[in-house]
Amino acid sequence: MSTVKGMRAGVMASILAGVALAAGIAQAQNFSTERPGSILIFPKVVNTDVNTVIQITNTANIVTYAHCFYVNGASVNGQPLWQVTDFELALTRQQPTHWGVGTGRAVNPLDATRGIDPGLVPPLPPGFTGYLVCVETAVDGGPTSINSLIGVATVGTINGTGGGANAVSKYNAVGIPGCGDAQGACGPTGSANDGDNILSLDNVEYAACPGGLYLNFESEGGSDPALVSAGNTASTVSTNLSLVPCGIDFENLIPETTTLSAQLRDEFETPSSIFPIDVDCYFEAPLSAPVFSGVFTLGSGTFGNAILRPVLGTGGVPVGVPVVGVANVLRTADDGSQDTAATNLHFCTDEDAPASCVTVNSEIRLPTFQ
Amino acid sequence: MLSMKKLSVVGVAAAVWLGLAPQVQAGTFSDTGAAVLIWPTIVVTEDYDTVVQITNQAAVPSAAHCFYVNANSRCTNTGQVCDTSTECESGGFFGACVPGWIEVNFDVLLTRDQPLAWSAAAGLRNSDLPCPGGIGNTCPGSNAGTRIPPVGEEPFIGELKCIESDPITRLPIPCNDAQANRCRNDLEGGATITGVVDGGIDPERYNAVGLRSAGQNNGDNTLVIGSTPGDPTIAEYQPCSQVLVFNHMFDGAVDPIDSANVYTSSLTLVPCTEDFLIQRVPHVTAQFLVYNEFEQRFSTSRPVDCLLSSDISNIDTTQSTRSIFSAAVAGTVAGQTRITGVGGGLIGNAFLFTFNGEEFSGAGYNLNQFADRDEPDFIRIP
Repeated sequence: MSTVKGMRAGVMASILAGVALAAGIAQAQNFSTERPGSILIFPKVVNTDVNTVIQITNTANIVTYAHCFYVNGASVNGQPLWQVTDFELALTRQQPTHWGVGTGRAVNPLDATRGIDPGLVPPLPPGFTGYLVCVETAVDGGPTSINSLIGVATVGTINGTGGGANAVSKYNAVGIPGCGDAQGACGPTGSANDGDNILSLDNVEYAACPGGLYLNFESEGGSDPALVSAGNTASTVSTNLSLVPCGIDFENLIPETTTLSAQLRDEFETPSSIFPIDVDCYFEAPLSAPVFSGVFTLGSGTFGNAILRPVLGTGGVPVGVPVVGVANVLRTADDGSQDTAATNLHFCTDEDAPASCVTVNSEIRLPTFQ
Repeated sequence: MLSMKKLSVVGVAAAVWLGLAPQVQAGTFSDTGAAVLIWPTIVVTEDYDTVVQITNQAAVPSAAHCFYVNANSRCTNTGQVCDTSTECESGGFFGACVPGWIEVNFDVLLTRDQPLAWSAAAGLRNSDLPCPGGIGNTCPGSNAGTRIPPVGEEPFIGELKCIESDPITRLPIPCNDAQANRCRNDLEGGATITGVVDGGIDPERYNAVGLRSAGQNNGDNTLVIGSTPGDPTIAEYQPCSQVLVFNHMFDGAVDPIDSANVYTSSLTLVPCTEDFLIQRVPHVTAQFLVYNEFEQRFSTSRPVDCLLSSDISNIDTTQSTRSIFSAAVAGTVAGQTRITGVGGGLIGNAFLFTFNGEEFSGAGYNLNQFADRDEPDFIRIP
């Protein structure tokens, strides 16, 4: 069996096992955007005309380490680029750190960037669009489940002093807790981290993937009520969605793919849906993109809510893995001035129909360097 | 009796366990459905308005009993809204600028899976409801009974709390997860504060903070949030967090991208405990532990009377360049601040601002948190 098939078969088996396991767990939803975790995912990292500043903090009273991976999610001729760049961080107790992704961070105590340098962070090339994953490790590089990392990203167009565009937005990284033991974050199924390169997102080693995401949105291309009340009658709103599959293979460099559906409902209780939304390694698009067929365009000024989850197969079992993500909303006023506001998406925890957000087991495979 | 040596061994073991044991998650949630939603920052000024959004995640109708808390400070002599006592001059005499606390409550009835949004400045009248009910109602369900008032004055700064409740009694729905009537956590929310300033626009978004059910509720007017281990008080909602973790840039730091823009941050905190029945102003002391990128630690404290909303470099001093939150004092760009409530739990959110010499841009975000409070908080409603 090829590695690809083996991986996919493994994921499917894990999904089935996860569905069975989740049935007995009332509160197995532990991905979080507000609690420390042992794996951090920043779903939107860009170095284009927009730049990104990453902040990561060690919230524990002991030194900790992280193995981080930038993933370039850009596509060339429809194929994901899937370029991975990795680096390591060391954070002293309670230490915060930061860097701009376009410049990285050198290890130079005499440079202008003050603070204990956490390690050499490489700069990203211009045009980078993708995501960042950081895995908490011990000093030997083996994964641990201490759950001490939190992260924040600032995404913005900053064109320097004296004018130009200035539009920043901010979101919290998605934290995946390590289970640790039966009293840990995952509840009674939790167990110690086995320290190997396969990080099992299964509510045993790490929390399992949440079954879906809620996206609250304003009608794509519609007007914004606050801007309208301020006299901007021709204002527009556009939401950009960034999604990362909940399962990554850094060992074999196989881009994870999944297919999503979106179930929508607007303020008037009007239901609609869109299928399929293919996520191949990485997904980033405005809600006006052709893939959404205009379903996010409601009446101007109307609000909507959508559940994004993997397509369900026989017996309501998800086909493929769910995603994690962030939405960045661009508002434009009558005079053309623009600014953005990012929002973390809510996790869907309701496993019953019609939400059907069934918890899914998956894995993150780290490279093994001998 | 344990010898000192054994005690040391036990102490070291405990320290190692505390350092290495997986950290149990705290009880408030800004990223999943909840039974109580808290928007710590609602702002209406001449330039800014807040669009509040609330969504029912359930496939059945839900109701929420909501409370606007007007936290404007006022002059003792004139009653005018103020920030400092220097604004309280009248006839050559100065009054004091004291924190205020005025509560207005209303109901929101949501149909199945319904998102609903409104401007805090304008509210939502019957005719503006998407599903007003009666003749002409095009929805299968109805929002009839919903009437959201505009905030009481401009300028306004305050918070909003919404409690999932019975639409008739306006009290929490009695429930018990161990029996057939499971407790519900159907509400999720967010707020976008949008400004139109000097020709530019400035939207800032954050998610509402939620309290999830603890698995049972007696349906009375006292909401018990967490409980003390061994205490017979039964928690109805999961506890507020023991520590809020605030990842921020220090005020006055320049951005690492082009070393030209200047960062400032602001922080809003509200108490977890509130008494809407007898209108008692809650008082909590917030302790701040501030770490810079050299692992150096500073600390300060500040009372939270009803609501604290401040630029971070004005939390500990009125001279921001001397603040422990100033980049000139801290010496680094990024910082971590751990906030602990004394006398009650705290809930909050934060904003980052950049200034390029011409334009401001702001961004809202939610705070992280660590551990559960081991004492209960209470919300009492009429």
